[in-house]
Amino acid sequence: MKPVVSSTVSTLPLLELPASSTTEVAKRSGLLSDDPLQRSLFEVANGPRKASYGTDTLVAKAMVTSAALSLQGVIRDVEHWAQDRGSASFNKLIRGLEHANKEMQELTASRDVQIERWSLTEVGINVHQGHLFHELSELQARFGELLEAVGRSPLEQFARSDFTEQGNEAKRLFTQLSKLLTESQSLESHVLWHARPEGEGPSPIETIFPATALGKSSLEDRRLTDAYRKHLDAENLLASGNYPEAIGALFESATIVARMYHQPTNCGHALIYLADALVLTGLDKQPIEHVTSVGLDAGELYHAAAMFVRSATVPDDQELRRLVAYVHAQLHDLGRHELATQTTREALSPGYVQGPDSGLLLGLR
Amino acid sequence: MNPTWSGAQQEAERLCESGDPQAATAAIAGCEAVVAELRSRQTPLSAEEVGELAALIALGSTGVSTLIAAQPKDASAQRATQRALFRLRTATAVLASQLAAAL
Repeated sequence: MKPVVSSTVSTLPLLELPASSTTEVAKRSGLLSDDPLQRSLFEVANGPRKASYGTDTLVAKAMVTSAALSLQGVIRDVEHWAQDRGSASFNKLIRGLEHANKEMQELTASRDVQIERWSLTEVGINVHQGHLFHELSELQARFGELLEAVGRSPLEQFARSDFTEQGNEAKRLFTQLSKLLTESQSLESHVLWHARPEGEGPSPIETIFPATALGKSSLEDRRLTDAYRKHLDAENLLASGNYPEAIGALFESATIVARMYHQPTNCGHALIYLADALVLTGLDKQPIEHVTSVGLDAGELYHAAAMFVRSATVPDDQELRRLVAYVHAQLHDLGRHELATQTTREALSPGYVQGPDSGLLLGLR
Repeated sequence: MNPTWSGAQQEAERLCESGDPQAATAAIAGCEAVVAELRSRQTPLSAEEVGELAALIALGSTGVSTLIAAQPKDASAQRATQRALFRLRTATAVLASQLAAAL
């Protein structure tokens, strides 16, 4: 399959190399350092380098699109092999997987540089739903289709029979397939949290970590940047299935934000994010005792989040109503019907009076 | 076969055969138990275990396919299915990374 990236890149003035790897591009453009975050902060302080930035964006988009096309080819190869089980279709499948893996490895290698740098430069955190969001969502959809195709194929029987006999063919196939699944999961970690359907609720990461604050030098903004780093760690841990550590990192991130009492909206969104993570990982009934002195489970975190945001605004605020609707639905999903009703009533009540310090509501340590 | 592994395979098979998203909970728990076991394991996988692990990954993929196809209409059930998809896909991918390291 012809890689899309070549034709796109050839039109870009700053690139003289066939940019099959954005890492290479970043090195050539002089922006790549060992620590992407430090580099990003440097760039925030010294101003964006627009030409290189734009170039990298185009290359990365082309790479993602190319990888998605390759996956489509692999899906077709899986289906052909599932139908005829012949050696020709098997070899074609292996070649397709190898090619897709090569592309995915390049993409994954470039991801940290790209995402981290873009996240903290002029575009801020909005990169999650801006520059690469749609392309990565498309790629994620292709992985879903690949899993479907694998699921429909006789791979399970193949694994059982072939590994216990010769093992060579199954070994070749599963080596490539396992690599591809692993790479895909790594890439997806930056997409899955932000794929919440339109109107379903807030896009918390943008609210929790405003781009304008990241990388700035004031004490509070430095704290926010620390929280953001923890948050990224947590997302990677979630993507690797390491839930307890992920929740711990999210807790640390949320706590930093929550301590910034003068920004109760950020705090509310951070708590929702933490509660969402608990729900998503099946840990919703586990009280997070580290977060507060009393120990709150996911339902109580949702409640606290709504009250935090309420404390900063009026009951008919559109953002508050959207958030409360989301919290209400989540609480019902958890079977916490009384708490859902209570939360909505309290959060949207004109008579709600904020206490002297909203942090005390949670007994935050 | 190790009871954790066989239990995970049985639950994943149940999900794939029934096509019922509610069967996902047990399948996910089974796969996550295998992930936990593999993470703490010190000894290399035998050839037979590699085959069983590959079979479990294939079953996990089929389970993911089942959940994608489920498409419940109720918003609450949709969210529950999305959550199940996240965990099953993650568990399948982590199993795949363990297999890739073993092969």
